Amino acid sequence: MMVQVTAVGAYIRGCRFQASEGLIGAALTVPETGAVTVKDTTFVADTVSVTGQPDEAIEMTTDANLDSWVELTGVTIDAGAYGWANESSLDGRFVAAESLTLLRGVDVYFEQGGVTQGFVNPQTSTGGSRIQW
Amino acid sequence: MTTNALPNGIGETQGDTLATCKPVILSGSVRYVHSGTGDDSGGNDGLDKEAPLATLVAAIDVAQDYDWIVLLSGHDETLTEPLEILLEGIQIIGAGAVRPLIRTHTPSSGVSLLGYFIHIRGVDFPAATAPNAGAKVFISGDHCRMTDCTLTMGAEDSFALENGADADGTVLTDLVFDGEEGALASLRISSGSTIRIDGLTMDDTTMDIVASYVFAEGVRLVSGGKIAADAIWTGAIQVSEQSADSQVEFQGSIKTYTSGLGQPPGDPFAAEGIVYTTMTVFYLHHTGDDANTGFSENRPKATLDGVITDIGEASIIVAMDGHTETLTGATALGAGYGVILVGGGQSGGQPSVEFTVNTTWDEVISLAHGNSQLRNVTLLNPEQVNE
Repeated sequence: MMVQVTAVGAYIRGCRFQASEGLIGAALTVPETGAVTVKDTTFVADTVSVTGQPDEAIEMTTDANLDSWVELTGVTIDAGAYGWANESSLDGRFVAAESLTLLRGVDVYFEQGGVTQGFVNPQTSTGGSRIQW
Repeated sequence: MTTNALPNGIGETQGDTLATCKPVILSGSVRYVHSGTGDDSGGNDGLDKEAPLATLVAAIDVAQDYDWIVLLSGHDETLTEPLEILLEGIQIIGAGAVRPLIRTHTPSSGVSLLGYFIHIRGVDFPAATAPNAGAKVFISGDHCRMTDCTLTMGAEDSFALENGADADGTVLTDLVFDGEEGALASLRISSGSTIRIDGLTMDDTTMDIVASYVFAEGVRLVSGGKIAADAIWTGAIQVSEQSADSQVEFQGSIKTYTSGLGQPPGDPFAAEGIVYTTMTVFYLHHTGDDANTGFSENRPKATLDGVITDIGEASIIVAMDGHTETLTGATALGAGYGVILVGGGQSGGQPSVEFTVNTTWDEVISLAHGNSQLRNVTLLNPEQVNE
């Protein structure tokens, strides 16, 4: 992990998460006790081989009874030349994602078994990027 | 769960960004409202854009949590009684070329946001034409938002927007408070609430802050616009424009920074405008020394840990332009709420401040307290294989 949010109301703005070989866990992790707004921020996998793929860009887990949400505005997730090892997973109580840019085949999964509500606007997608909800 | 996939969004070319963006996937439904062509009778659910509801009041009645309610171009509605919104995650969206209007001109007939994560976007609230004892908008639910709205205060209005004492995590973006002659304070931030503001114009009217946590950037005080705060508020306000007849009245101790926080362009909060703050500001650069106080750019701390050991809650850490540091242990941003880490400057379009994070499981920057911020920094991990 690079950054973990465990409180409510965090704000990440204008940052760059540049993940290379050896990143274990997500660049940004939001467990069920966390809630965050991320604005104008880039997550990029920056490796020199497939075997060096960093784990994932964003991981959010949920408990529907908790105050768990994520708000993404103008966020870019870039797989780089060799990709992330795993899809980003957003599994909070509420997700609001607009002007989301997914580059070079990035996959984002919502609600992998949780109760996620909300919306996503993948404004730009390249390289076969996918959203699964 | 069933979701609605809208490849062309909701098909508008003007209005709020949610009205014009595409594609969209949402868990709720989209309901349409227009005061001229709509009809609230006959069990209309508002799901057909060609057969909209006539009022926001009726739309709230039939809506479910997480729905979108689209006020179509030219919608003009007068509330005759209070509208309380208890639903979660509702997006109230202004669409089209003619901005929708919600009028509140009978006693206490405003809109109350009582649910969780309600968002009003691209909707205007004109001046009342009859005495209105309440707020046009009252926020009491947590994490509610208002974006791109103009609230006009007339002589008949009491105030335009109140962030109530129970409101935690309110966010206001690109709002205009326009005071007409005889208008009173228009934005009241009540005791115990927390709010973040990004883009706010106070035009001949006042923002009142009472014993609350406020972080505001991009505030314009024009034509007599005013900020008034009591002695026990906490936070920071960056004023990007301040006309000669504007006023700032802080009853408590305030530090003022006249060129942002003195950093080159990168993050507007760190580089531009006048910053008024109750928070302690620490400067950080790898050429500094952790024995320094860090209170000035000339005597910065050398490491983030060196700053963290000195701070509690509600502090600002300015990582100065070009600061680079490898974090060798878990780093929690402060011991309480409202700690902000902001990097100064950019290089090649990217934040010039770099933190390299050793990525074993426990070695991270942790935002572990409410209202923490991380701004304009690059985070890297070394190319290594961890255990």
